[in-house]
Amino acid sequence: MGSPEEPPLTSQQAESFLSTLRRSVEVVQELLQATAHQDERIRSLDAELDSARARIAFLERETTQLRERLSTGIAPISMQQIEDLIEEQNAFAHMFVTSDRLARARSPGEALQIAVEVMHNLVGAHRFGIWLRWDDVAPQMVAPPDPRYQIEPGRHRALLERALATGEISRDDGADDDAVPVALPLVLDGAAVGALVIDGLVPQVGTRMGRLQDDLSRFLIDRLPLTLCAAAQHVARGGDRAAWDLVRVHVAPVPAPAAEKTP
Amino acid sequence: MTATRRALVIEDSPTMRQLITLALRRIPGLSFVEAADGAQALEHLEHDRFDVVLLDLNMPVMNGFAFLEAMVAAHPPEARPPVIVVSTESGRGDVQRATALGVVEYVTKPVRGPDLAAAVNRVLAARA
Repeated sequence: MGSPEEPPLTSQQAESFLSTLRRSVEVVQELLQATAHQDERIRSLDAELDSARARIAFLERETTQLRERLSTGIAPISMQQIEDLIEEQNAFAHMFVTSDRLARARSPGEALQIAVEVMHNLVGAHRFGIWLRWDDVAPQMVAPPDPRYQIEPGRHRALLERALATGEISRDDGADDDAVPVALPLVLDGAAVGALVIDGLVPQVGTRMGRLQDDLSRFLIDRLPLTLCAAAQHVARGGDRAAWDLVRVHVAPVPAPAAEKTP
Repeated sequence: MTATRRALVIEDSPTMRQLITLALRRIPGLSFVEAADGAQALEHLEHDRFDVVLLDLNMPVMNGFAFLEAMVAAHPPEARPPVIVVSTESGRGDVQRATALGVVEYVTKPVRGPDLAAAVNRVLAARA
C-alpha cells in the first residue's frame, strides 16, 4: 500500500516554512554569539582572578616580611647601639644620683663624704685622694678618710701639681686619654682650688677609665667646688632654718591680677 | 593587680642606696626598706618578711659576712630571704665565702642598673 501523495505546498505555506527556517538560523546565530560572549566574559573573569591571586600572594609576602621585622623588633638597631644606649642611661642615672646627693649636702664635710662615696662606689676608684688648697696653705689631702682607699703620700705629686698649676686634666707624659693615674682639677672662678687624683681602679673596672668613670669624674670635679662653697655658707648662716628666713629677704609677692573690666 | 614584694637594701652609703633603689624602681610592686649596716638589717628581719635582700659587704658596725652568718644562725633556710651581694669586692675568696653562706647572686660595683634589675628579677621569679 503506497503512501498517499502529499499535496504540494501552497506559496503561503512555503513562505511560512522559510520564515521559520530563517528564524531558527537567527536563533542559532544568536546562541552562538551569546556563547562567544560568555566565553570572553569567563576569560576576563579568569584574568581578574589570576590578578587577584597575584595581589594576594604579594600582600602575603609583604605581611610575612613585616611580621619577621616586627618579631625581631630591633632589626634596624645594632647590638652595639643598644649597648651604647644602656651605657648612656646608666651614666645618666649615676650623674643624677651624684647631683642629687651633692645638692643635699649641708656641710663641707658631708659634701666630701658624698664625693668619697661617689668615687668608691659609683666610679670604682680603689685608691684616690682629694686635695684642696688656699692662697696661704699648701695643698692638703682632705679625703678619703679611710686609709685603705687613700693614695700614698707623695705618689703622683707631679700630676697633682701640674693639674693645680694649669687647671687641666693631667696624666703621665705620652699616656692615653683614658689612662690611670690621672689628676683632675677642681676649678672655681677660673682657678684650680684643688684636685682629685685617681691612682687605681677596682679590678672589675680594669686599668683604664671607661665611659662611666670618665663622665662621672668630670661631673664630680665640676660640681664639688661650688657644693663645698654652698655647704660652708649654709653652716655659716646657721642651717636650714636661718637660710629659710633669708629667703624672705630675696623674694617678694607678685602683684595681684588686675580686676577684669566689665563691658 | 601586681603583688607587693619587699626588698631590704643593706648598704652604708646613702648614695649607693639611692642608686640601687633608682635602678630597681621599675620592677612592678617592689618596695624598699633601707638599713645602713648588718645590725639594723637583722632588726628588720626580726619583724618583717622580705622577698629579696641586697647586701653590701664592707660596712661599719656589722659587715656583710657577719650579717650573713647571724642570719643563717638565727633563721632556718625556709625563713631566709634570698640574698644578692652588691660589693666592690670581686675576689674569688669573697665570692666563694658568700656563696657558701647562701648568697644566690653576686653583683660587683660599679653596678649597671639593668644588670642589677636582671639579678633581682631572676631571684623574684625563682621565688614566685
